[in-house]
Amino acid sequence: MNEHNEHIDDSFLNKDGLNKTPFSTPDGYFEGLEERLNLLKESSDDLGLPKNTPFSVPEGYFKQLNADQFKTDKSSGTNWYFTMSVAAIFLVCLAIFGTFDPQETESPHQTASYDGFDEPQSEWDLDESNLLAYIEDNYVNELQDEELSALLEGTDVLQDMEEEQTSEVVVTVEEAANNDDIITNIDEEDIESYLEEEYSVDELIDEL
Amino acid sequence: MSVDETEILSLLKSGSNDRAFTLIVEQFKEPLYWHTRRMVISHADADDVIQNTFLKVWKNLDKFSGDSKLYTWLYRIATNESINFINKRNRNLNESLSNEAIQVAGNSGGFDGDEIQLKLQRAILTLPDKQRAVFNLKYFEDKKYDEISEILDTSVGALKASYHHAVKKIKEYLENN
Repeated sequence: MNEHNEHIDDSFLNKDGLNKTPFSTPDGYFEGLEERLNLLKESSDDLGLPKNTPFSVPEGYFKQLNADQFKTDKSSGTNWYFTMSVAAIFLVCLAIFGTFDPQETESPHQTASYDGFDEPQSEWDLDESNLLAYIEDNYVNELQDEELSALLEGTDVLQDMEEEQTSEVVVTVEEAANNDDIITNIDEEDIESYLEEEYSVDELIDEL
Repeated sequence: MSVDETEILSLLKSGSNDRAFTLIVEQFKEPLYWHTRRMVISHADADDVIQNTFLKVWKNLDKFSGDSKLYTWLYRIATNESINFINKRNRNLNESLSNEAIQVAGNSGGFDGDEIQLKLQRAILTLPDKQRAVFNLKYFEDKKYDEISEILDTSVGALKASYHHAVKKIKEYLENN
């Protein structure tokens, strides 16, 4: 014991030099100790209060409480564990081999009855014909909506688009100028619609 | 119906679990119910706990090793189920079972005792769960300390101290209320 501890212990010594603890006990603690020790030796401790149960049960409760109701649950418990195990294995496989996509689980019948182009599954599912159909149904409409909203909002989105298309026209017309047949058959509207379609397809493919 | 425990054990050893379980339920449903009822107070809760208890007994009957007495094994399951139920309920309701159960003890139709008994039950409900189990097993069921020791997996010395504290608290409650 070092000097510091000795100093602390000494400070709590009483007159007899016996009490070395800094802790105190509740009043009368040691006086009741003998009684409590006797209590512990006794096998029972009667409070002098009634020991009969004050509770009652519904009539016939114990009669309906029979073993059969628990036995049937054992097999259902087994089935539950089996079902949960299969589900867990399925989820693990799914996590390893791919992601879950509800659309992929649709039956062929459901796919067949659906027009199919609103939400293509991936770019690999689009062949040339359905790609064009998709452009017609969606992207061209989107462009029109964009133009319309630009007009309504008074922004220069449309103007920007026209400028962009014009620069494309110059390139395309220059290319076309190499062929007399083409240049004579092309008027301005045809070029614009052609470019709009070209532009739309490129944009769409980028997007996809 | 009174069945010797050795008869049930011999059935278990011979693999007749089905018959053994039937005898267990018949023999122990009432004592286990009352033990549970004293712990959780309301009949509905005691019924839930007793259902879970027997389900667990049925599912684990194969695993009963016979190292302890059958009835201490059953009481241990019932006590643990009761304490789990109380803890779960306390967590869910964010209030102690005691507060609710005291009201149930006083108000429900399942209580036939007089005012002294009600007061005693309220005092018991102020005890911590395990202390309550010790007190109930000792005071109401007259179990010996070594039996309670097996049921609660606690040393006899700790049980004596626990019971002593329980008695002291109950006396204080009765004096002050």
